[in-house]
Amino acid sequence: MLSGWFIIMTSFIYIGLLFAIAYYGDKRADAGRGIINNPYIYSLSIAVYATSWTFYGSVGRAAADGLIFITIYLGPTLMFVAWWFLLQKILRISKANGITSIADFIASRYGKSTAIGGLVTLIAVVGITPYISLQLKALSTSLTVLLEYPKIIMPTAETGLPVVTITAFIIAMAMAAFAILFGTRHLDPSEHHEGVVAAIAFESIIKLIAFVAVGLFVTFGMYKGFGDLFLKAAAKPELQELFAISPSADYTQWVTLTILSMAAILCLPRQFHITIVENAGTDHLSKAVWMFPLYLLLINIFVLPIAIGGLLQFPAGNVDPDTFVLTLPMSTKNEGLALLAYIGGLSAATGMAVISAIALSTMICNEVLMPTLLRMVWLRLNERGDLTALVLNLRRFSIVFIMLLSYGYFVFIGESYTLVTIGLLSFAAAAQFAPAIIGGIFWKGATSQGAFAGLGLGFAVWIYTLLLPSFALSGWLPQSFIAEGPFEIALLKPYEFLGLTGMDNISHSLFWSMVVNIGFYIWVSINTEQSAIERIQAMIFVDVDKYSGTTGRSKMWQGSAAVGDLRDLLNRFVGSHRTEQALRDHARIKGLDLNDIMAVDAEFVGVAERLLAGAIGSASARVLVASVVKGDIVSPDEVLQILDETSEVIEYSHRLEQKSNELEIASNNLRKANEQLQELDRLKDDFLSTISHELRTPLTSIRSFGEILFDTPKIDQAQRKQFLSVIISESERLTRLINQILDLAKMEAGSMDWEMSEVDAREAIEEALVTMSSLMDDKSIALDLKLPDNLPYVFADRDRLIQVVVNLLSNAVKFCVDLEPVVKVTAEVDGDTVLVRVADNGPGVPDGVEDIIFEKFQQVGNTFINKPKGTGLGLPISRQIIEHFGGKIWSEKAEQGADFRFTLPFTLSFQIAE
Amino acid sequence: MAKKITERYVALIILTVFLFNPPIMSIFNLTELILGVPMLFLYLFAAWTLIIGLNAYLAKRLLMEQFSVRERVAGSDADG
Repeated sequence: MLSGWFIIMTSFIYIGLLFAIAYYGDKRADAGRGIINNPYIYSLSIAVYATSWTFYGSVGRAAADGLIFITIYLGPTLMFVAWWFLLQKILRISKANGITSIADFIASRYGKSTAIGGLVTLIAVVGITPYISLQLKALSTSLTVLLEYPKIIMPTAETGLPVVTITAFIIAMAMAAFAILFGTRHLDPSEHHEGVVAAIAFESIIKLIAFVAVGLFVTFGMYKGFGDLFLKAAAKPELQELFAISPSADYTQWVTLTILSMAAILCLPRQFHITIVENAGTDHLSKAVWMFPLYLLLINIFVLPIAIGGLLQFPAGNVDPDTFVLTLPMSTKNEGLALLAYIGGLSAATGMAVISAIALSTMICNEVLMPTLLRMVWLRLNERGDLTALVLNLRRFSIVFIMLLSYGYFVFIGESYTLVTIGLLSFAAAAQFAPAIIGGIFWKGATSQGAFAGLGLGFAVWIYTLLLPSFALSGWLPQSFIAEGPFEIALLKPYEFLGLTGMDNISHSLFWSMVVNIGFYIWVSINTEQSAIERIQAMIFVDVDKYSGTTGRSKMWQGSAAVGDLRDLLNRFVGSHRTEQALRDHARIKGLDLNDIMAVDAEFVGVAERLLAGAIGSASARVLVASVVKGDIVSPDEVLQILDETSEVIEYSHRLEQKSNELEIASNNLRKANEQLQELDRLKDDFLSTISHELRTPLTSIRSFGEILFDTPKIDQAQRKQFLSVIISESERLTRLINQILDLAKMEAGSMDWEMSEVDAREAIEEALVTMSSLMDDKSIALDLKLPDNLPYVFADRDRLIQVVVNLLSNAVKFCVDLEPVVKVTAEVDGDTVLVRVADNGPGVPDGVEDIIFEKFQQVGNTFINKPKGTGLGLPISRQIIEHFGGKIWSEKAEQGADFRFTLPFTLSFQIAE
Repeated sequence: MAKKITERYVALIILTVFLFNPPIMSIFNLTELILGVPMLFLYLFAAWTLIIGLNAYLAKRLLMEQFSVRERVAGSDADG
C-alpha cells in the first residue's frame, strides 16, 4: 500500500486540506464569526513551537543523551509560569501600540528606530533561515526513508533520490504559496490572519495525535507497557545510562538549554508573531499559560520510550535515531501508522515554515523595505495612489525570498548537521533579542545606542562562535578554523574563545554572546543620552499601565494636518473603508460634522500614525506621517510634561476612586449600624412595655387590696390577714422581679461582677437542691438524683451557677402538676463538658417554643392559668449566665415533661491533669 | 488581593526553577526503576504536572480578580 506515488499524493492531499481549513477560517472571519477567537485554538497555535525538531529530533537527542531533550520544553513552561510579569506586559504593550513583529517591538521601544528594526530583521533572517531549512531537511529525510519501504535504509548524500529533492522543493513552494495566499491576503492593521492560525492549530492537533499514536504503539504494541520496555532496556548498561542525565551531557548544558529555550519561546519571531501579534484577546493568554505547557508535556511523554524502543529494535546502530518515529512502525510493517507518523512530521514542519515566513516577511517589508523606499524621495512614493498593493507585494516577494533562501541552505549545507544542532543555532540567535526586550520593558534608561550595540555585538559573537564553525564543519571554511583558530591564533578558536574550555559549543556561544550583548547594552545605555522620542517610547513601554488608553501619547504631534492629505495617506495603506471609519469616530468624539473639518488636530494625527503602524510598522509610519503634518514633533520637555500631567491626572483619579470606594464602605457600615440601632430601639420599647405590664400586675393587686383594707376598717381578722398575705407575696414578687431586671440589665451591659473560680459542679448542684428541698417537700415531689462522685471542676461563678440550678428547679417544681410528680436531676461528663439535666414529668414545653422561652417575659402556659407562675426572666438570666461561663443551655424535646439541659466546659487544669 | 496573587506567582516561579534545576533534580538522577519507569523520568513528569496545575489555578484566580477589578473601574476609564 505504501507505494511512492501514494505517499506523495497523501502529502499533497494533506497540504490541500490545510488550504481548505485556512480558506474556511478566513471565510468565517470575513463573516464576522471567527473561529480562532477562543483560548483553545490560541493555545494550539502556540504549539507551533513543536516543530519537526520536536517530532524527530527529540527522539534522536534522547537516544544519545537521555532526558536532557526535555529542557527544550521546560524552558517555555517556566516562561509561561512567569507570564504575568513578562508575556502579559509585552502583550499589553503590543496591543496598545499596534506592534506587528518582534523587530517592530524592539524598534518601537528604542525610538521607532529604523536602524534597530533593520538589525533585528537581519539577525532574525540569518538566524531563522537555517531553522526553516531544518524543517525541509526533516521533511526530505522522512520522505526518503518512507519511500524505501519495506527496506529500512538511511539516506546518504549519494543515495539522495531526485524525487525527494523535487518533492521538498514543491512542498517549500506550496508553503510559500500558502503563506502568500493566507498571510498576505489584505493589509490588516491588527495583523490577524485567522485562516493561517486555524490551519496551524489543526496541524498542532495532527502532530500530537501522530506522535502519541507512535508512542502508544511502541510502548504497548511492541512492548507490554512502560514497565516491560524500561526493564528490557535496564538489562543493557548503555541503554540504562539514558535513564539519567548522562555524563556526556552535564548540568551546565541542562541549565544552558533551559535558559535558551526560555528565551526562544519569547524571542523566536514565529512565537512572538503567534503569541503576541495574532492574539485575539488578552484574556486568552491566561488559559494558554497552562494549556500550552500541558501540550508540551503530552507530546514529550513518549520521547524516551520511542528512543529506547528504537535502540532495542535496531541494536546494530545502522538506523539514525532521528528517524525512529518513522522506522519503528515501518520495521513492524505497520504501514498506516508509518504514514500517520510521516504526516505528523509534515505538519510540524509546514506549520513552523509558514508562520516563520509570515513573521519574517512582515519584518523585512515593514522594517527594511518600506522605510528604505519611503526615504528614496525620487521614487515619489508619497504621491502614488493605493500603496496597499505595493506593501503586500513586497511581503509576497519576501516570503518567496525566505523560502528560496531556506531551500538553498538546505541543499548546500543542510546534510552535514544533525537536527538538534541547527535548531539550537537558531535558538541562540533569537536569544540575542532577550536583553533588549526584557530591558526595554523594565528599564526606562535603556537607549537605542545601547540596544544597537548589544544586539549587534551579541550577533557578531554568535556568528563567530556558532555560524562560522558550522560553515567550517560543512566544508565552506577550512577545518583548521575550528581546530587551530584563524591565523593559527589559539585564543581565537571559535569553540574555545579566549581559552574558555569545558563547555559544549552552545553553552560556550551563549555565554560569550550574552556577556557581550548584556554588557554593551548596559554600558552604552548608561553612557548615552536618549532622544526625545526615545524617552517618550520608553515611558509608554515601561509604564504601560499608566499610559495605555490615554491621550498623552497621541499628542506627540504638534500642529495639524489637512484632512485631505491625511485621508489620502491612510487610504493608500489601510484602505478607504477603515480610513472613513476612523475619521467618523474622531469627528463623533469631538462632536463635529465630518464635512466641516478642514484640518485635523494633533490627536487625530496620533490615531492615524497608530493605524499606519499596524499596517507597515512604527518606523515607516513615522516617516510617512512626518511628510504630511505641518509642524514638528513637540519638544521633549513639552511631551514629557504632557505625559507627566496625564499620569498625574490618572493617579489623581485613581486616588479619587479609592476615596469614593472607602466612603461607600463607610456609608454602608453606617447604614448597618443605624439599622442595628433602630432594631435595638424597638426591642427596648418592647421591653419597656412588657416590663411595665409585668410591674403593674402585682402593683395593681397590692393597691386594690390596700384600698379595700383602707376603705373597710370593719373587715374581719381572718380576711384582713388573707389580704395582707397577698400584699406581702405580691411585694415579694415585685422585689424579685426588680432584682432580676437589674441582674439582666447588668449582664447585658456587661457590668456584672463575676466571681469566677474553679467550682465543684456537684457541690453547687447539691446546694441548690438543699435550697429547694423544703419547697419540693411541700409539694411532695420525688427527687431522682444522679450525681457521679468524680465530676470535674468547672470555671464559673459559684453563686450564679447555683442560681441557674435553682431557677431550673423552681420551674420544674412550678409546672409539675402530675399525680406523682418527679423531678430528675443528673450530671455527667459529655466530651469536654459537664452536662447537667433538670427534667420533670409536667406538661412540658410545647413544640416550637423551645427557643422563645429563653427570651425575656415569654412565659408559656399563661393563657391556661390565670396567674403567671414566674417572672418570665428566670430562663433568660440562666442563659446569660451559662453563656458567660462558655456553656450552652437549651430545652430538649422529651416524651413527657420538660427536659432542660446545660453544659459547662471543664477547667483547663482539669484537662491537663487528665 | 491582586497583590497577594502576584506574590504567589513569584513563589511559583521560584518553585519551578527549584524543581527543574540541578540540586533538587540530581537527587533523582539515578538509573533505578520506580513503578517500572526510570526515577528521573517519573520525577520530571510529576513535577511538570504539578507546576502546570498550580499555574492553571493561579491564572484562573488572577483572571477572576481582573474581571472584578475591571467591573469596578468600568465607566471611569473608557479604554479599561
